[in-house]
Amino acid sequence: MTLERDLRELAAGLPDAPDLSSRVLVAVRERSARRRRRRVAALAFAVFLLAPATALAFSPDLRDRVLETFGLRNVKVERVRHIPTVSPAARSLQLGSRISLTQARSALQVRFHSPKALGAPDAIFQDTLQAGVDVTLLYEPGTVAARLGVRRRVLVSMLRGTLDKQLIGKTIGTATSARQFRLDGGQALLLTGQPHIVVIFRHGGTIETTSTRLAGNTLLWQRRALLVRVEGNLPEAQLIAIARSITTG
Amino acid sequence: MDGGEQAPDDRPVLARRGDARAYESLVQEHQAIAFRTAYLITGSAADAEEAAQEAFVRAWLALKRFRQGADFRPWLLAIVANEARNRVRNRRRREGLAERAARELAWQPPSEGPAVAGDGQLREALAALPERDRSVLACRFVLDLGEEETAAVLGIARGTVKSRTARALERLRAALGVES
Repeated sequence: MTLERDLRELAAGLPDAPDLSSRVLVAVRERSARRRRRRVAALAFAVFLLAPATALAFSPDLRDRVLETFGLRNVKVERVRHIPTVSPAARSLQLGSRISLTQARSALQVRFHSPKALGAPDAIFQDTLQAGVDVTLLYEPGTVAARLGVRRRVLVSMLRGTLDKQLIGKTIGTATSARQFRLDGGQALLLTGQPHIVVIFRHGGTIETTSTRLAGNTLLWQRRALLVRVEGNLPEAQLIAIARSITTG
Repeated sequence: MDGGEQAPDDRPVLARRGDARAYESLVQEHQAIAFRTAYLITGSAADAEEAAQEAFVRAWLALKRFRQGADFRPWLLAIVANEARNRVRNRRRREGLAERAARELAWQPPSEGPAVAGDGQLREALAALPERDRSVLACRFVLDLGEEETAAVLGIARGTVKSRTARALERLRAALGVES
C-alpha cells in the first residue's frame, strides 16, 4: 500500500481551502429573495392573465384592488374588493384522473385512511400540480346526507407539495370571512361565506395548465407535510371534525 | 464516504425548510473537500474558490431535489464538479482555445512540495498517465474520496471507478517499476 500512501501525501501540495460559509449564506439569502420576488411576480402575472383563458372578468387594474395577501405554505390567498364573475365552465370540478385508494396512498407517500366522519368516498382523483401531487376524495350529496344529515357535496383533498411552491391560489371577496388559527399544532385557514375562486397551478408551469373554479366554505390545514383541504358548505365545526378524522398509519 | 452504518444526517432536510444554521454547518463541514475537488478540475485556486461557493449556492437552491436519507457529500460533489467544469469550459472559450472535453483534469502533481517516494518519480509518473487514470487516482487518493463520491465527481459508474482505479494503479506501478 506504499504507492497509495504516497499518492495520498500529494494532497499536502493542494492549497488551503478558504472559509466559504459566510459568503455562501449571504449569496443564498440574496438568491432566495430574488427567487421569491420572481415567484410572487409570476403568480400575480398568471392570475392577471387568467382572464381570457377562463372567462373571468378580471379588470386590468386587478392588482390595485388586492386588499390583502396571506396564505399557507403552498397556498396564496388574495382578498379583492369584488371577486370576478365566473363562467359556467369554472363551476365544474376539475379534479384530475380517477384513481384507487392504494394509488392515492402511493401518490401521497402516506398510508392515510378516509375521514371517519364521512367514511369511504364516492370517488378518488389525483391531480399533478406544478410541484406536488393533489389527491381528492369526492363525496356526493347523497353520501354526505346519509352520514351527516345534510345534502351537500364535500371534497376532501390532500396535497403534498414542495415546500416553497405556491400551488394553489385563492381569490376571496370582502364577503368571505378568513380566519387563521392553529389546529393540532399546524397552521389552518378557514374561508367561509361568499364562494371564492380557486386557482390550481398544474404540472407544466404554464398558464395553459392553470384552471379555476368556485369553492364554498373551505378549511385549509397544514398537517405536517400534507396540506389538507375540506371543502363543502358545512359549518366550521364539521369541516374541522372531518379534517381531524383523517388518520394515517 | 462509502457504506458504513451512520445515523441519517437531518441537516439537508432542515436546510430545505429554511434553516440557515443547518446549511452553514453543512458548508463548514464540506467546504474543504468542495474546494479541493474544484481545484483538481480547474487547476486554479481562484476558480476553485468561486466554483465551490457557487456550487454551495446551487446546492441550496436544489435541496428540494435532494433525496431524503441520501448521503449529502457525493450529491454536493457532483454539483461542485459540474460547476468547476463549466468554469474550465468558459475559461477556455475566453482564451479562444478550441473547446475540449470539460471533464479533463487540470490538476497536475506539483513539481515542488513535500517529499514523496522516489524523489519526484511519482509526480513524473503520475503526470505522464492518461487523464482518466490521473483523475481517478487523484479523486481516490489525493482527495481521499470514496468510490461513490469519485463516481459522482467524474460522472461515471461506481463499478467503472473500481476497475479504472485498479488499472491506473497497475500502470503507475509499471511506470515506477514497482511490483504490485
